Amino acid sequence: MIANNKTYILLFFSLLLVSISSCDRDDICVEPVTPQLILRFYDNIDVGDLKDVANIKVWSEGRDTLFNNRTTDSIYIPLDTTFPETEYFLKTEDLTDTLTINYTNNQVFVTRSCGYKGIFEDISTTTTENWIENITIIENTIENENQAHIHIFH
Amino acid sequence: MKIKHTFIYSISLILFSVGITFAQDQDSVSVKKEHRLRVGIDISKPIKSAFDKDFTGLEIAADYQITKNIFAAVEIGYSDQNLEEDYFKYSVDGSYFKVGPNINVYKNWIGMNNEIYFGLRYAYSTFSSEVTELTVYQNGTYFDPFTSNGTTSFTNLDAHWAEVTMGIKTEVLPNLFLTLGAQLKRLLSSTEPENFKNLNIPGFDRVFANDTGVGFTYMVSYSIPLFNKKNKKPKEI
Repeated sequence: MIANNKTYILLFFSLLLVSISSCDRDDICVEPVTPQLILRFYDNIDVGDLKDVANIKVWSEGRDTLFNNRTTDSIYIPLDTTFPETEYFLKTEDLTDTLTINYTNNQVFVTRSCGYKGIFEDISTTTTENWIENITIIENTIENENQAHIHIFH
Repeated sequence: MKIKHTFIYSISLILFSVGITFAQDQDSVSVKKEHRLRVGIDISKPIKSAFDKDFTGLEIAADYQITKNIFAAVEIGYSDQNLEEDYFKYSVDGSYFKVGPNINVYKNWIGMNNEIYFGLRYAYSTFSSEVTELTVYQNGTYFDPFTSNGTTSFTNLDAHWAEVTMGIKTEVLPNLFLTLGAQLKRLLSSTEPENFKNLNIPGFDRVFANDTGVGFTYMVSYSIPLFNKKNKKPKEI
């Protein structure tokens, strides 16, 4: 052999140390998980133009208000991963509409540390029309937050 | 690495280092024929099975001496584990075998049979897997996340991988060997379950993000005399 016993023992222990320390850290969830619903607001007359909703308030029955008094043309809101329906109240100034989103719940495996994310398939909506004029569903399945899923015209 | 495993492992390192030193103090010379066959068992698995209700497993090994320093080794085992991650629980159940050469690089004194070995393995496992509980991962707690206690089963899975192994074998009593070994593993291919992943494979254990793994064995093995000739010669000076 080219080296003596002591060298081999040293090599053996160093390789063992390397083997312990070289394990990849895969115990933090960094991937995108359950997506939120992305709503974008457009002008009902000039349908290509984004239109801010003044002082928007969004909430679901019996829960906290999301976006208290912001003026914006797009919002991200969570959907219920357990039930096939989520109902939101959308209020601008003093007008309130009720938006109901229906879908099929499903779960998709992500990674060891994230586990599963919820996705929402076969989206359909109903709404009251106190300030909302029209709705277009852009994405039939919500599984990421890469673009707006629903356009609302007012 | 769990602190407990690192601790046990370090104690074993120290014990076997002592074992090597001790084993070199023998004086009598017995010349045995080559082509020794050794059969052994990984004692860490039955011990773990006894203390860990989520683990049942066994591994037996054999190695056959081809030349003075080259051995053909094979390991066969099974494991049935219940495992838990942050957001789901799953179980893996299956068996495996590994085969390959070991090369001893330790220069033994005459009559000694200790080893520092390096080896390679090709390994194969067939197994089945189940997800038994899950909670979806969502940002925020506006709505409660979906939770399921239903079971999703994946059957007829298999995997191939390669290992680089290394270890220390000491003959602590005549024909009785203790081995401390470590393996670096690389998954070659596996059948992936639908909407899940092989996170743990029998014989491979935990699969890390880049399809690599590590393992340790604590083996007790016995050398079966295949040839009855055993010439005891007094040591000549």
